[in-house]
Amino acid sequence: MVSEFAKRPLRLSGFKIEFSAMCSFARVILVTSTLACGVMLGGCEYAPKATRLQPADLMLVSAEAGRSLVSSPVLAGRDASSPRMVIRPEAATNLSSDRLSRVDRWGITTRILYQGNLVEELKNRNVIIVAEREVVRGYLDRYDMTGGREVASGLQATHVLASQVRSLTRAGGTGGEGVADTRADTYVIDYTLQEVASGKIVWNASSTLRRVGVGRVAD
Amino acid sequence: MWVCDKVVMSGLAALSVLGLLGGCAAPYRRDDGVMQLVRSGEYGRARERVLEQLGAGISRDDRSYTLERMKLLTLGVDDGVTDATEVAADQVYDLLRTQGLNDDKTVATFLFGEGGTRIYKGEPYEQALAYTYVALFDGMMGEWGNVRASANDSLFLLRDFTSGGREGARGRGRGGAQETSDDEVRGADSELPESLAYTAIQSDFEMGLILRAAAAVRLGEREDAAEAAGRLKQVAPRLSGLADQIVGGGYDTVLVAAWGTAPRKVGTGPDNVVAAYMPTTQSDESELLVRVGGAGGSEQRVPIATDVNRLARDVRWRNLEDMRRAKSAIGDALVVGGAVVASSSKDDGAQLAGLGAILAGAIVKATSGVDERHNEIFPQRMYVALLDLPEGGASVDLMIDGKPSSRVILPMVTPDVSDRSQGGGLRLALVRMPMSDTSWAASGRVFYNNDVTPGAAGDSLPFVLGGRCVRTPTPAAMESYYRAGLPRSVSLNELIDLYREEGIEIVGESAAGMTGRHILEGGNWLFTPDAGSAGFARLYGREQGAWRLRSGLGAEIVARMGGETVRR
Repeated sequence: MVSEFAKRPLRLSGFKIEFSAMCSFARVILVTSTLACGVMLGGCEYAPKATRLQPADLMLVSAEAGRSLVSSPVLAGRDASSPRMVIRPEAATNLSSDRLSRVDRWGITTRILYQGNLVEELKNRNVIIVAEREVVRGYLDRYDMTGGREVASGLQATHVLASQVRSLTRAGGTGGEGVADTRADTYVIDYTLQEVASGKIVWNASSTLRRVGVGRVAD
Repeated sequence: MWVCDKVVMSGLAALSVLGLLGGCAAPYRRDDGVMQLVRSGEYGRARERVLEQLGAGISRDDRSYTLERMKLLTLGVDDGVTDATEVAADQVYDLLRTQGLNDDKTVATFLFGEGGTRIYKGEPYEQALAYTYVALFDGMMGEWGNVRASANDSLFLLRDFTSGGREGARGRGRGGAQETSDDEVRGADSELPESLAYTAIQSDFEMGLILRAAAAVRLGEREDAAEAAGRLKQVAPRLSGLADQIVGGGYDTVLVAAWGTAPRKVGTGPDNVVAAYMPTTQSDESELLVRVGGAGGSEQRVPIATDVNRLARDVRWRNLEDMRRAKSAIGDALVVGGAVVASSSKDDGAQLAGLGAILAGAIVKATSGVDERHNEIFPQRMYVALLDLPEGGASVDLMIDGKPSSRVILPMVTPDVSDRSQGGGLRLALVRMPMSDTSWAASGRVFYNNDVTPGAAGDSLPFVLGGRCVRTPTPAAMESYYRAGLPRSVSLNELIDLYREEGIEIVGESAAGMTGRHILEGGNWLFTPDAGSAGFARLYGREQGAWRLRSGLGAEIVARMGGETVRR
């Protein structure tokens, strides 16, 4: 039996070719394979995804937290004549599903204090930042965040700035079935400023980020 | 008609050539030289050999990029050279966490075979091992948050194809999810044919559970630790004691011991579609004997935590076998169908079409074989011992029962005392034990001053000047050199200049890229491996050849010393 598809003439560079019924079988193979090659060689615009925290995420979060800190009651009413406040940042505690480099863990906290003109602004409010120079040196130097300014050391901290990264991971197949091809990680970054003498949390902020990756998790 | 046949056959011929070209990816060749070095514990030389083979470095677009990085990660951690391993750990982790690396390659894989098209990410068990090595690296760095992240990543769900008898738990049974056991997380793809139905189940990867539990304890996440330990008891009752110990505390060091080499992956069966994993180190039940503190010290026997041969044998830890089998079957059908058409029809066109189908089937079959790429450097087994070391450190003697060549004596392992006031630190050490007799592994001695044991050989000159000191140049080290006879006219900066002129790269200071072999072993790198590693025992536990000065500055300093470069 000759199908309508097989009967249809195919124009190829001006030549008219009639296909027979049996010829259509081979044509199906050829066309299918060619299409498959096209798909492969044509380069699908497919971008693999990962749900890892990106540097830009951390920058946005720390910028937001920095604004919150400066406008918080603990700093808002201060000026140069206020009693000296000495803040010591600590590296973030990583309780998340992502690996964070030591540089990133320090950066999550220290970026709050060393962004823009915040150092000067804090100084005008008699707030000094102390840091273990050798510990944060890599981060500060790498990004030249001190702008050549000295990082104070040897002072007794009155407050500790800490942060913690947590996350919730969900992974599964499309429609809840099959091989996992979607993963979502919701990251929560908490910041706290704690008064050393009393142990009281005088400021806290929290940011949430969600990253979704599409593509087979194991492949 | 004739024109049609010609066009079709030309197309098929072109397709077959393309298919054969694509399918003929160079077969994977294990590096026997590297394997031999690994067996004898020469991880530094093995690492350098892998680096040399990489040459100027392979592109991230290369399909074997992850495999080569995985080897560097494995050897760097085995050698205890964390500074040399960070980049590889970051790269491997990033690639493993990237989803869908091969999602757009299904058609290409079908047409041209796995080896020629797919980016290597490893079989599931290799991915779990790679995550484990990243976790071990982070543990050696004291980054327990990262250890938990990587350990969790190694515990991905597995596909169980063997639960066919349990209706409701199968992939095809959409409504069966309620009937599944705790292990069976969710139903799988309902579109799969009956023979390929599977259930997604929780991982039974012991090392992932152990590291997750230990990290959770260190991070104060007791609930997570208890859950991981409980799961460990469930999947490996032989490790119940270890699980209880992890949660119960009373230790300051997690000692991981690795031994053997991973199974070899080869294609077997019709069209080589079935991946067979041939053990290169036989499995057994031999325990690890650990003694802390030399003769009379405490001793414990430790069961095997993870046997990689077991994982490789287990179909749940494999990937893509279903596609290969299906592809081979389709190839068979095309060949048989084509043969029937060609032989039964009297029509020329039909015969040609049949021949075309045979050809297409042959191509499909030829490219359905297993991708034999694998990380042959991974160990065959891992043990985990929890130690409570004295604050000043102690020697640790390890040996697998009945395998005297595996014995390693770590001369000085110290606990992490950095934050004991905050509840105690936790140190992780990895020892990759050798498989053949060595002169260094059981010497238990330290012949050279280094950054961990700076006074082991007493005051001594720098190694490059004939001494026994391979410390990173510091003011404290200079004082030791002056006491050993180095003229005070030689300053710290001049010594650093000397290293530079001799072509010596100092890890942490150098920007010369991947760290190579140590100067004690004829290389040009200066670093101190982790004290709890085989690399430490090997570098400092045997007499090494002297350094040959090659710079003018070296000759000048020697002249100032009175021309004496006798080792002292």
